[in-house]
Amino acid sequence: MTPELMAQIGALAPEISLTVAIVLTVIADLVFGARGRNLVGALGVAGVAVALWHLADPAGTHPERVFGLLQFDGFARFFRALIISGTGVVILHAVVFRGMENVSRNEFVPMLLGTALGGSLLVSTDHLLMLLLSLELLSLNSYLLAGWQRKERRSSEAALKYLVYGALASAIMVFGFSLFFGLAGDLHLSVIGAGVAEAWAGGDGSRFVVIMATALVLVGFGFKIAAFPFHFWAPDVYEGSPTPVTTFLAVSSKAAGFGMLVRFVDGVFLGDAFVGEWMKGLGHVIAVLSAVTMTYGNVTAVLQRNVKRLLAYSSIAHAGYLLMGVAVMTSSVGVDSGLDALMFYLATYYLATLGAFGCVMAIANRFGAEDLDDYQGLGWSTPFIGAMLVLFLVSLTGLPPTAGFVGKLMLFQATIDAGLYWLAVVGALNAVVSLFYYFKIARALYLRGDTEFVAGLSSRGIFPFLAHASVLALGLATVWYGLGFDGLAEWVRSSLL
Amino acid sequence: MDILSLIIFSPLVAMAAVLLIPAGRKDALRTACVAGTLVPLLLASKLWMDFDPTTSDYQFVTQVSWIKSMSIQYFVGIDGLSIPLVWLTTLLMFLAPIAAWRIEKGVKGFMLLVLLLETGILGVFCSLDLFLFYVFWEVMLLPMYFLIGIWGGPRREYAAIKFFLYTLAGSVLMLLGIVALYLCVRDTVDTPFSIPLLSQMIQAKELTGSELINDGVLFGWPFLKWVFVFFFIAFAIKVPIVPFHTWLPDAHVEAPTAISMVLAGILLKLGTYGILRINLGMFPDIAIDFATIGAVIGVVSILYGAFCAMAQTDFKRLVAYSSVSHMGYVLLGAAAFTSAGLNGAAMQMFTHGTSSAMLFLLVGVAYDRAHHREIEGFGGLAGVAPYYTGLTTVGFFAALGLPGMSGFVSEFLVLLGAWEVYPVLTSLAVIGIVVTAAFLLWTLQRVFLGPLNEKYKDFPEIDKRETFTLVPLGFLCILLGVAPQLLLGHMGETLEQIRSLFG
Repeated sequence: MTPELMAQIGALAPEISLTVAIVLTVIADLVFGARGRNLVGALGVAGVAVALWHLADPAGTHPERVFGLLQFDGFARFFRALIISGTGVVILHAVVFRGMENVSRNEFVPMLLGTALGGSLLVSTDHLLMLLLSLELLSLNSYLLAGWQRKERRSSEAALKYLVYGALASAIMVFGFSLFFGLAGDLHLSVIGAGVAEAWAGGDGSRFVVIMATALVLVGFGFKIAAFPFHFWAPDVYEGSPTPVTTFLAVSSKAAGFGMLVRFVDGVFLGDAFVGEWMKGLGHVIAVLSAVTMTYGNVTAVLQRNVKRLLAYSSIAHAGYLLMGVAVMTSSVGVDSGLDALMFYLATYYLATLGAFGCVMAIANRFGAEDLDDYQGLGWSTPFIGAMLVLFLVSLTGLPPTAGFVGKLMLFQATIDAGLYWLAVVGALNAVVSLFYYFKIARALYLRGDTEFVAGLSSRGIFPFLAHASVLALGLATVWYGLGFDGLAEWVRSSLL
Repeated sequence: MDILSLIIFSPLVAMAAVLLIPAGRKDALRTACVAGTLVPLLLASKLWMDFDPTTSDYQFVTQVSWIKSMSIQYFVGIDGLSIPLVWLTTLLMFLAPIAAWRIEKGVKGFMLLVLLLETGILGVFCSLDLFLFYVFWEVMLLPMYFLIGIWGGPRREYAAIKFFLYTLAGSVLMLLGIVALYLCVRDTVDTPFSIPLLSQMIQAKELTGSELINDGVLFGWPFLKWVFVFFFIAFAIKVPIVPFHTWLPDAHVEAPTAISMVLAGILLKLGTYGILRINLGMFPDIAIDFATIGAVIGVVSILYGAFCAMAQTDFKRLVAYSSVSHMGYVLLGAAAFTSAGLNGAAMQMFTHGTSSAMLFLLVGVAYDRAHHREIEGFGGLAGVAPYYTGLTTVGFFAALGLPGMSGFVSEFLVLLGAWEVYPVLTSLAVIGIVVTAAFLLWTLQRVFLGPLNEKYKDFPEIDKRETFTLVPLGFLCILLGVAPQLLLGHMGETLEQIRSLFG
């Protein structure tokens, strides 16, 4: 092997670490069976840790371009960090999650690592074939994970729905890809960008093909990020899946979807060859999708009584906010500022959502509660988790002094700067709506029920401790980046495409 | 650490101390909270004495870089407009845990939230950086939501979320305004969030270089006018000005006594403080366009609040509506842009802070004993509780503006200042004074005079703790009535500077 090839393989070290962890967890499961639960969990977390260490690239020797298919730039590193670390936290929680006690969870960990692997490759590739393969790696694992509690009707139903809709969305997207291939004769995004520009200049017939292909691909992306009107799978799947899977879908899977969408939009539509009326039209479509998605998600969330379902609709709303960033990107002035705001917002969303689901799982473990009605007065019995959950909800609403506020500030700033004033106003008013339902959770925790202490089930051991510690760390980060976000802003700025 | 930062953040230090005390030791928790709020009160008193009233510049300024990527500063300082409010805040927040001494439910949480609330409020009054201002502005909402929602009356959930939603709806618009201003100047100055710098630039029309301002005619209005309106709505909801006032009676009626006191005494002032500091101080040219509208809304608030108060049967609701009425004077005085009007408005903020706090404490005394607040349900209390009756009389007279009490001076100044500019509106506002006097005296008569309601023949007299919370407030009402110069002297220069913006 040539040294160059070795170096390229070296750039894949995070993905290789995940793969090794997958193999080791499978072996550990075969050898120890159900007794090896903690070992499998530990191996999974260790794999994630090693992957993150490699991702940080302490030696700084990794090449950016690998095998002509993968682009390991700062952008990819940012998204891989979110996806992989999010998966690590989910594993911590999954090991102690009582809701999955009656099903084996040893295969669960390698599956989860497999989705992280898929997501990590997905955000790094600029080749449509690789994109499709990694997307399917992510999706197929997700379908299985959603149905993990196979004796529960809700879980099986969720998996089937996810599978059927997901397969349909993939098929539509692949059809769009094929049209792009027809236009450009290549599957690299940059070549497609040039081909599309040429086709656009070529008259009405080929313009129609461009619009069709874009629309079809956007359906696939819209499904993955759960944007209106391709969101309909999300509430059922989020509610039916075991909560660790829900967490993964809301955090890592959504980050992967946005990474893919942004790279595609940037590569195909924002190349040098291509600006003007077409972009303006696309920008308007995305801006409208963004406004409708966040409004729909927020308004529907108000009606929910199940906490997981409520958070599912809220994650639809947040997809709408993130689309604000894409809308700004496609306006003529805001490629960088839009992407900057989107990535910052995604990081804050990651912290708050991961933390909120961590608290939801902790409460489910201890009190078996999942509906708002069962949450009544629980805040008094679990002051730490209760206060943390309120903090994460404040961040999701976008109030200072939390990171979520800064995320919204960045988005509004980019949106106003790009002249999309109406979208900024819609986004701001949506924050008010979201307060109403997020604080239904706070209301149940503290305002309702009595203040008596309820012991609930206790969990002891290293994993429950680590799960709690991760919630605390996420909470501290949420406040830290709300009050001093220079570090995060700098990281984001150096990770733009 | 400078004294202003000490004042702002010392409640946070007290929070850490309270957090360490076990939840079961209620008296220790209460004492710690009282001690934790006494520190800022003492520091603020020292601040008052060290304050130099001969200048309109910001004093006790601390300006350090905070978030470099957006050029945000930690920038605090006070002038004549903010120092009375800072001191009033520390006083009322010191009285709040004493007034809440008898609360038994979740004492630890209550005290923690009160301390957090104090930091938030003090931060708003001291911030000279818009980002910092906004952070403190929002920080105070969360404790308020829980304080009303957990320790409030029967409809507390509704009242708490209504308060939160109304205020947030206003403040997100303010956030858009702040962001827009930031975008106008971020390329040209080092400190794009600085309130003094922005005021200066807007008044000198130096923002015109920006792209937003050049092409910024939106829906027929220039861009800055929208920014002004967004700020104004945020503050108007907080004051609250009719028609944004409907959260106030609910929040007041449901909140526990100590929190009603803080709400009426300080939180409402945040709105008028914002109007004076930002709408007038930053956008004088636009404020002139809206002056008549402001004066009309002010008079509508005065009259509507007074007539609504007259119609109430619930003691606390009556006091809440009287607040709407009294805050209307602040707006009327501010909209006149005259020296007397501005002085009256600023003084009214302080005097209403003391008198309304007193009224809510007095209502709380009656409610604690009778467990209801129906005005008609009392009667003849003067015979069984003479001290209580005496203190109530002081509070009511202060609120209705009896000559010799502080309310008289401030309302008189407002009317004097407004008369020069809006004679018709001012004459209408005078009707509000008459109605206010009528409903307060009528209430006094129904509750304290007449035949004794037999149910209350054993009505306990006001106790030492309650007296302790009421006496300083009553004393201030009388003191400022006979010597308003104590307060006006500190505010004069700053208000003159604001007035000079209007030619």
